[in-house]
Amino acid sequence: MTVTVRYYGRLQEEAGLAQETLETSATTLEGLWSDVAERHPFTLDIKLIKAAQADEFCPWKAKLVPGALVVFMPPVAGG
Amino acid sequence: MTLFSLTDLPLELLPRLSVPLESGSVVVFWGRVRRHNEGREVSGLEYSAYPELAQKEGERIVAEALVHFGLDKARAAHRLGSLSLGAAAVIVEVASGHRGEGFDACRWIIDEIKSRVPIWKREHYVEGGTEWVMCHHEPTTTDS
Repeated sequence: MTVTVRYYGRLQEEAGLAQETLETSATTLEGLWSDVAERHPFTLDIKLIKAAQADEFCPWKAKLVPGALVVFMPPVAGG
Repeated sequence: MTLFSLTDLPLELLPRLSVPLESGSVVVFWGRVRRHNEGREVSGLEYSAYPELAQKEGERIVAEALVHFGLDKARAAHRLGSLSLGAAAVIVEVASGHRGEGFDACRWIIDEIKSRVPIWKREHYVEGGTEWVMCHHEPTTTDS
């Protein structure tokens, strides 16, 4: 399926891009992370990263929706 | 009233919170850009956010605080973009009947913003270079 992936903060810097649309055979957010982690030199452990789909936080086991916008986020640091 | 806002404009220019006559206490917290962080001299910083989710999560935090602490009014705002030393990065305003719940709620809201809202900070250093800051806060809950 085709999905659009957006990165923020350190992940955006490490990926060298803010957003990309790609083909994946993954069915969960966790699987999609494995895919993109092979394409980019990410340094953060998955335990530190959060994922969102349809602009809501989602667990790693959540099903990937075709055409979705998936966002991967490094640890937040507001304030 | 907007419970939470993200803005590129200086927070110092925000109009003051209008407070009902029932409120005997108004607690305001300003988070500012500090000169030093973890031994390094900071020249300024940049904030970026995932705006759609940051807006929702910020509103959820303030809405939770209103109910949990029984507040009359509350709001918070966070800056985005480049900030220089001393600039306000975040403001939390809480109006309540008495000061106890006001101080508690204000502290809770800023802690939750720091641990839950998808906002990221990149510091610029006087010696050169930049770094993404990692938040060291553990999430808290309204039950604690």
